[in-house]
Amino acid sequence: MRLVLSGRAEPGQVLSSLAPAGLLALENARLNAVGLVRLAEVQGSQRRIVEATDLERRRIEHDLHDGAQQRLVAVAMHLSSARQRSLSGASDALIEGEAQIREALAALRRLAHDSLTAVLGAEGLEAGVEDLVAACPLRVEVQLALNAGPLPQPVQMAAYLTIAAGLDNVAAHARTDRAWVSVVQEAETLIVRVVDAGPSGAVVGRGLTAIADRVGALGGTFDLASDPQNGTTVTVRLRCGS
Amino acid sequence: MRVVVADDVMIVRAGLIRLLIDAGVTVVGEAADADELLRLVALEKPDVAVVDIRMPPTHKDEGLVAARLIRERYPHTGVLLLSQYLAPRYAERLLEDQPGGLGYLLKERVSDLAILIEALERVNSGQCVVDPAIVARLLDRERRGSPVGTLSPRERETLSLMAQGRSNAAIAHQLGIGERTVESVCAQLFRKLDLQPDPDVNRRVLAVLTLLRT
Repeated sequence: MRLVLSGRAEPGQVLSSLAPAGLLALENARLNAVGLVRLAEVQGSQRRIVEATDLERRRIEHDLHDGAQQRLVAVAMHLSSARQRSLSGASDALIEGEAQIREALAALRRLAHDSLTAVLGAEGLEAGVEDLVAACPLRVEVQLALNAGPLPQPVQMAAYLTIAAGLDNVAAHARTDRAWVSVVQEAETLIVRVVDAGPSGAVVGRGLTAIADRVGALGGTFDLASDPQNGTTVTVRLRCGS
Repeated sequence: MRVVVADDVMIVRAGLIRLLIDAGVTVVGEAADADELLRLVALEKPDVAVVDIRMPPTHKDEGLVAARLIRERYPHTGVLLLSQYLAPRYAERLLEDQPGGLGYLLKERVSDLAILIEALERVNSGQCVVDPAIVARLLDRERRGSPVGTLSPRERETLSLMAQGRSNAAIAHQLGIGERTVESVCAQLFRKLDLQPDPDVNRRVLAVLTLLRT
């Protein structure tokens, strides 16, 4: 708002003409403050939901590891032992049984997200990203520039899952076999990018939508850009300061 | 061969011991965590310790840490690590420091008795063994400037089998070629990886290390 005062204006008159505008500005500021508090509350509750989900995920993974997987491994060992001792007639069925157990184990590993918490927990984000890329059917170039010192666990998890979902999305929709991943730490911000050179018109799968929610809950930003020349770029920025 | 077994899950330990006994291996002790394992190794001085990577209390890399200690303190005891997960980094970290006398296999692989026995023998004789699935991943992971990238398909296959601890005769059998051919493929492979002939250094171990460092 801009007010032009002429030299002859009465001070009282000026004040009374300003009063409604001043009230309005105050009211705006109040609403703004209320809005910010609400936003912080929502972000807080989102963050707690994500944390609870992660905790549950670790519990399930742990149960799978200590329960089903170990039992299957033990059964496979006993079958193998039985096959060594059996007459030739019985061994076909035993071999088939062993093959099915191997498949069940592979399926379980995929379900438990392979090495997610094992590798992230023990070795950090760098090793996790390497494993992801190694397991990915695409040709992926990786750029990693992380500061020394561990990242907060929710940030690590979000960065890892961004890359996992980004690469999944490229493999499923981008009609290309090439992708680039970069994870760069600049001061207090971790910037994660997954880029492909596929034709435009990115399809955003459910995986990426979940990532956007997770990143939002940590107060970070999620951007998806797609154009015919440059393919699709997913950019996530996360605050990694304490 | 005298072996100790360490795994925190009793049923897996039992299955493993049964397989080892079937194979004619003498199991001289079992442990449910890393401390127990170290005590057992100190006491029994076994030829090989078969060790699960994830053990209590944190279930992260206790087995790996114990393996390192065993190799440092008891050079005559080899260690065969078993893992539920495919994690090339584990293998890399471990083998970089002490490549000889160490093996790393996926746990489900050991129900193939031939693989288990071959791995134990290799580790016992100071070689290293890396799980085929991990080798495949490492070979897929192409890095610019790595000499591994210059290998022909046949040389890559040979390197991969070498990393799994196979002898020249076993590689020849697997690839359906003569042993002499394998020898010349190996010579070419060592040349490309710049590994000079040296009686004191095991070039097969070094070749695998080159792969892990790619």
